[in-house]
Amino acid sequence: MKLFRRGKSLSLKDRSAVAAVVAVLLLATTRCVGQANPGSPTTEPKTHGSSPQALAAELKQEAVQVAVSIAEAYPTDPLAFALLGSAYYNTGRSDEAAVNLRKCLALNPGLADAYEVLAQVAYDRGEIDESVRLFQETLKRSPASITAMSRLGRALMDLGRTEESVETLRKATKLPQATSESFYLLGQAYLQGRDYARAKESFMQATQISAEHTQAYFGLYTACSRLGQSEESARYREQFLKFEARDRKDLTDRNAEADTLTGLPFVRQTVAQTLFGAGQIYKSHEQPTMASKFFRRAALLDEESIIYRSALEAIYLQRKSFAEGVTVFEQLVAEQPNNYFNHIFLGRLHNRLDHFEAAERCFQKVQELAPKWAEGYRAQAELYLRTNRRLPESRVMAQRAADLEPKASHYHLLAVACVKNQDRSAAVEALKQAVSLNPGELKYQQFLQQLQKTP
Amino acid sequence: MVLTWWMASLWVCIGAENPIQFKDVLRETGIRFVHNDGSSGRRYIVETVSAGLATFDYDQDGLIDILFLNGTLLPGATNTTPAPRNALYRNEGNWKFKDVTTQAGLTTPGYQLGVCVGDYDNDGHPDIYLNNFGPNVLYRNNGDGTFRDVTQQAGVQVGNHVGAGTCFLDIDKDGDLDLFVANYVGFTFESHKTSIMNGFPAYVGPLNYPPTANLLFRNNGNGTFTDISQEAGIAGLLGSGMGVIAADLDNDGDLDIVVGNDLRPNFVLLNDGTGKFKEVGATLGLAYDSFGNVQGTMGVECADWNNDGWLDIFLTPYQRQLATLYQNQKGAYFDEVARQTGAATGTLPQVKWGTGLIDFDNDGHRDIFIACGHLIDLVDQFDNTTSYNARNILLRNTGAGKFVNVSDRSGDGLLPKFSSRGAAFDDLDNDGDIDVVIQNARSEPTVLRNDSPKGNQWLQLQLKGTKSNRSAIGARVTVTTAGTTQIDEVHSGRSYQSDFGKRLHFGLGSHRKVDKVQVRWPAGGTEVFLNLEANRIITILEGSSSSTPSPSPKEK
Repeated sequence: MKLFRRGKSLSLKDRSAVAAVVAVLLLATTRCVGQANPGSPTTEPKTHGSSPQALAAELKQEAVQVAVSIAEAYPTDPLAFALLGSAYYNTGRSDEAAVNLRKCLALNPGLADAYEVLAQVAYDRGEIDESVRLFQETLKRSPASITAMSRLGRALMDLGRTEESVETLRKATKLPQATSESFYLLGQAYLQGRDYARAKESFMQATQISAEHTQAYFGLYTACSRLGQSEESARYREQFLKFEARDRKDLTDRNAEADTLTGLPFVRQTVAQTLFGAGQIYKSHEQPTMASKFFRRAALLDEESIIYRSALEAIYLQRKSFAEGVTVFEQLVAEQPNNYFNHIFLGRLHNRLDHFEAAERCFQKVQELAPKWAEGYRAQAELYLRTNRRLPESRVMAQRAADLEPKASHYHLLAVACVKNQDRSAAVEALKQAVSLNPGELKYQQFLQQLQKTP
Repeated sequence: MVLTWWMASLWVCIGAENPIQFKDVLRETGIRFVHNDGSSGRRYIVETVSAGLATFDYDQDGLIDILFLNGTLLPGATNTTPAPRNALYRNEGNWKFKDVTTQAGLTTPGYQLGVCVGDYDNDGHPDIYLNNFGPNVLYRNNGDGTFRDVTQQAGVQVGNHVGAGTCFLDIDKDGDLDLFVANYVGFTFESHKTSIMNGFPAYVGPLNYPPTANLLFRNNGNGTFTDISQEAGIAGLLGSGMGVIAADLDNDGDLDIVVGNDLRPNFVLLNDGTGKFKEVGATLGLAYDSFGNVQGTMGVECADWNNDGWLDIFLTPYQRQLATLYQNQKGAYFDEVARQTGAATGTLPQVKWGTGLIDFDNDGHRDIFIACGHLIDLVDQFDNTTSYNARNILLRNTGAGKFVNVSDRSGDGLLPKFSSRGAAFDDLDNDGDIDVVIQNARSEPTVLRNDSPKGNQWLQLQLKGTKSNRSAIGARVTVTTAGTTQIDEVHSGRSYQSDFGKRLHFGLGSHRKVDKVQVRWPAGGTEVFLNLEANRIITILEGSSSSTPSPSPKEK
């Protein structure tokens, strides 16, 4: 998604991604309740009567103030300076961002993510040689960082260092986490080096991973054209023009949205990232109350993020303060009644307290608000199975979850529900699905073998 | 004192490493023009794209004059005294300029954006077309130092579009100049929108307004024009036009048109020789950057950067988009080579506008000048990777397929920070090297005198058509010197909504003689001139088979 002026040059995705690097740097392991997101929760943001401009300014000030206070409170914690750097970066103050990221690295030179953000800052400032050096430093510390490798490859391309770019991007495509973008960038590097056959091959791989990778079709069109493959070239050109027109229409539509014009969603998201990072630092310094405060604030600001709510839940799970957690999530529900993420976590905490009816109501609310989200059905099925109540419904719920999101864990849940409902053959079928979807998971195989052995 | 002397010496030493040197001489020129975009804080999109300028010899005295475009007060703006207006500065020689706007009659009010110059009535005097937000204006040059607004008679008023680049060109080789008029977006005050970026008020972009069609007018040969956009095949092409240039991209002898579009694919309008055009931007590889992304194209320039006999295209886009150099592959397609050649060096963080592919050091290789400056006046407060006022960029062509950023080593002329828009390049003091004039938004202009060492030789050619249009727009010149060949064309309307360079300039390196000059005239026919002395401004009249060295005003 494009961001700045005219949606033109500055990519929100890029900027958010960079900010997310620091957020990830600060992230402790949090258990997410679900990956698939059926759409945005629908709670309207509270603007406290301020103009969008004033609200955005207040939020940014809040983020920087929080980060400054953490850096003051924990002056030997490199993550505190990473957070401050990230807060400045997200408010467009790249100079201060760089200063604080360097402080972070002085305290812990091994923090690859801080190097990566620093490299991106240099790139944004047009200091591409320096960004190359910093991306290389990143990779010394984190040799398998796909983002750093891709960005290094891109920066090398920008400098016309084509061979080095090809070498770097080839390595990126060999990584297990290689994406269509990795192959697309490699194709671009080959194109720059006029190696059109290899470029075509890489672009093909990109489209095999992502059939709607608009720019990969442009690459294919260009490569085939240079190879004299006019029919193929024409076909890819048509495909590219079709996707490009669609992308531009999407961008145009987004630009016309009131939210985009106010810029508030972006500010809320980036401030939420900073506050989330603040919470992580407090948590690492064993300040769970402060951590909870900032996770909750982040969740309020970024309604689309499940991570912040998951981190909030984790605090109460770890401390086994389920009732306290219920109170916190009830407050969130009161503030954002249509946000189904809040209901799911509230339901999960009620479940821990054996509040069967309350948990059931929460999960039903989730299904009402997000009928195409598997998580509501999965949670309800688990509730019934754990409490051995309403078992026939548990199977229906598990089946719905598997239908909506056919993944191994859902088929495993369905198998359990089938067993509980005395339908062994259906359980076996469900487990076979689970195994086929995730052959590496021993648990499914063992369960399947066990069922097949049992008369 | 010692320290000052020492520092000055150091500066000279550093500067000496680079053969291109510019000195900011605005203060000594007498130019008092200040650009006014008519803004009031309401942030109308038209403010961001204002404005271009033109350098041309309006009074035919051999000295190139300057026309600065200007805005008018937009709704909400406070009255100023005097009200903003364009300014024509007559070059009086020795770097003195005189404001002759009123006596020249260039007084029709309007929110001016783009300009082109050409002798549309073939009377020997260059006329001016202004592409405005609001009604456009055609000024006929009366030949006595004055102009007359002939817009209504000529039928080129157009209406209330947001104008952009514009150019005169002879689309059908009938010997008179037709007119291409680019338009930006379908903005009206009623459809005005603003945005907030990171908490700061900002301008919306072109995607917030409907795209618009460009216009093509055929010269009827009697002082009037007819809108032939439909029959020429361009009426259905909707874009957000900015800079334009007309040039022969496929060496077939007619003029094609490149339209830079802001956040929409660029257009290349290929002329079939009869004035009918086909849009082939994607086919030729100019519609998108090399990554397949649309760019926020602002300026469009054209020249043969690698002296291979084919005109290449250079585009200046928005922030976080590298400038693009499209190398012409013998008319079949264009390869984007900015990264490989260094032509994009230093261009990423700034918004880029006016530009010229100009041989500033007369070494026979065209360098690149890029005028920079963001369009969001508060951008520094929420994104300090860029800036509203920015330094311009100068990239020197090494002659070995590479450009080197010499902005820090080119004298004090590259130090000032403004929010530049249009840029024009001409030899203002007839000393054989090309000087620079830059239109700066909400500010005074920049005038840069080329103070590069004089070691290299040069040739300047002023073409005059007889059968062809009098301005010789579209004439292709090939200059051969000791086995090296350079080409150039006479353009009208180029860079960012500006016009310059009617007198063609060639750097010759150490060669004191030009072996051959070949002129391909736009109406057809070629003439060849042999063994011309270097360091001359030469006038060539079509059909005369002779060339006349023009004594410079200094020599007079």
